[in-house]
Amino acid sequence: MAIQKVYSDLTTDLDIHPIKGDLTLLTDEASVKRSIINLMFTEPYERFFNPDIGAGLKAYLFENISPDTEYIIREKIIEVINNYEPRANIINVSVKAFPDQNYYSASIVFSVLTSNNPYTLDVILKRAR
Amino acid sequence: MANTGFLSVSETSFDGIKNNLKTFLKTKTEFQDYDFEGSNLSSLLDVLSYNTYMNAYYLNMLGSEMFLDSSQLKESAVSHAKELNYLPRSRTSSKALVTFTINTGGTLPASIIIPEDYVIRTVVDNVSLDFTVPEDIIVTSASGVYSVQTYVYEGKIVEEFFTVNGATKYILQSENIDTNSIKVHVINSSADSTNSQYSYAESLVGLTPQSEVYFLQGYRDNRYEIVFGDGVLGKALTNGNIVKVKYRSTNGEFGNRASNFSTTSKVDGYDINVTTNLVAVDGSEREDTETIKFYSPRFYSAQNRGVTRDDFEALVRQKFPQIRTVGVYGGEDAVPPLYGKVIIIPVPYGNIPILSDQLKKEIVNYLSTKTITTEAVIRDPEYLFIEIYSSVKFDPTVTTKTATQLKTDIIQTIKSFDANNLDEFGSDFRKSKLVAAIDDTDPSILSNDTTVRAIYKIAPQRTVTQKIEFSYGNALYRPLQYVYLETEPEVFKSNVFTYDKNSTLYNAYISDDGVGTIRIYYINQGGQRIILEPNIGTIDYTTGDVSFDLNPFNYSGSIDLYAKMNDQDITVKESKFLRIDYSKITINVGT
Repeated sequence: MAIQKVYSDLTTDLDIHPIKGDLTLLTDEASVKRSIINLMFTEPYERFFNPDIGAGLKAYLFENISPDTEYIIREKIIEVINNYEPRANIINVSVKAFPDQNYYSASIVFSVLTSNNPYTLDVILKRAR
Repeated sequence: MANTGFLSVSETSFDGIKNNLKTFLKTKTEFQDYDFEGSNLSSLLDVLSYNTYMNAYYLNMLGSEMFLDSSQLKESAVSHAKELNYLPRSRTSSKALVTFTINTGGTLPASIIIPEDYVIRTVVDNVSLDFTVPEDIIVTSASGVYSVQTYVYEGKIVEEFFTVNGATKYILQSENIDTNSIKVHVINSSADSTNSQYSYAESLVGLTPQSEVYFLQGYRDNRYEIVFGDGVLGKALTNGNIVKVKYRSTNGEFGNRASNFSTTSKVDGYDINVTTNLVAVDGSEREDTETIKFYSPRFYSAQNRGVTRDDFEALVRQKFPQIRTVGVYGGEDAVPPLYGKVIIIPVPYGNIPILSDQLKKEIVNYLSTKTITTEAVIRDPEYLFIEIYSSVKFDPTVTTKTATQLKTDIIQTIKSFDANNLDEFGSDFRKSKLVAAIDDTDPSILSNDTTVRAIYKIAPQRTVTQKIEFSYGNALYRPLQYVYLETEPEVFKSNVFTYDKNSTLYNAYISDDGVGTIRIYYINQGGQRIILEPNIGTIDYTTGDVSFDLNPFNYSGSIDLYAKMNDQDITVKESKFLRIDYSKITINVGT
């Protein structure tokens, strides 16, 4: 029996499927991962008529790297997923600073509502002007 | 909304539009996670919804501004008014009547010219204002005295130059222009200073290809543009011509309080002094959007001629921006009747609305060009003032305001009531509405006991016997049917004025006697009323008609004749104007 795709989304680049010629879709955990990344990189007031959406991480990437900033970034990620991505159940979020390389590495372990399989999403958070 | 698979188009808000798109996509199996905000699809829907929303907003505004009735922007109203050949009124300069006296130091020149735009200066509220002479004045000697009386107009003189390069329209830059002051000259070219003055054309009637005229029309918010003829109706400009436009940039009604002037320079080398005969009046503000929307269709229906009552009202309001409101009625309704005439009662802006005699003449002259069968007669508005006494009870436990603050609020309520309910001819005073307004001033007010009296103000000549006749137009309060006893208050009574009886001056009062006779008395040191004149006229308690002869020796400002109405409502005819006298408001606030 074919597995039913529950969640779907377009790719960010609106890629064309090489065979079907239609827009390529992201499905299930891939679409949820894409959504989480979008939320993490969205700043408050960026969206039209919906100023609350977004983790607002950019400001912290320009702060001095410290355990406190690590903690705040982690909390922000958890908060934005809980508020705006109901398909994801957070299992663990860890944020690790790499001061010499000037970035943070965020690792989000989550499951989607339709299964109990854990998925890991690793995101590099690096400031860019 | 039901999931029908069709895209609803009824929503106009951003959220509504986006929800419609989500609902539509919900029916498509490819996009089942339509409503999770982090998805890429959600971002695309944001852009699509924003675009749709902005288009809807734009179309709504466009639809609104397309019609005179619904337009919000003054620019749009001005544009629509242009289609109706209606010129929105500009500011007008206040004008003062002054006398210039030139000191020639004993020499006797044949004449001295006070040049056009000669500036005299005054200060109003610490702001320096220029008043200018509108045209050259030739002053000749009268027994060795060089003196002339003239009007001067407030505003700074502005000159603009345009070089013609094919255009027929030229935009004047100042928003504070007084369009009545515009003077247009067309100079042949930069090499040839020969010029001719162009005059303002209100219509196309009588224009020829050689008519040196310009037209004036509104441009954008508060500016104007002048338009020249096309060579068929009005002389056309040729390339290289230079258009010189001179006008006053004015402060409008702000200049109305100017009274003391000083000269700024000598004239023909002689010292010149200025004295004020009449303080500055008739300055007014530019027309606002709502007034343009109200008057432009009425002006159009009047077709620039005076036939009906509305025609005269529209003509006066359009031409004379100093006029706040105008009452018009046929002479057949006047007392006594004036057949073949129309009575115009203009009320100018300002706290003390007085119309200058010159402006009255200008109105009559203007209206005489708009009708050949009806003669316009200007009358001053007949005011009937109202005195208010109110005793207000309030509950101090439900407000943080003091009695004094409440009193201030109540007075403001009464002033607002006056502005909103009594600001037109024939507007009646309804006491119940005022009582309700006072109660609604603050939630802590429990009740109010309000009484009113009508006041008719007269300013008769001093030391001359003259007949005073007027009517309150309402039945007067008359509980007693006999002559007043000593302590009883009168229904009809004046304020104090000085009366000469056998070369003795008394602080006297006019009052009725309780049975319809008007008398004059004073109050002696014992507090008794001593009758000076037992019968100077009559008062009709049923109609409110009053008639008496009066020869006052002196008074301050005016003699105010108070009367208590039988009905606490006061109704007036179209020719009268009811106003609450702000100096006669008494409010007592207590618990």
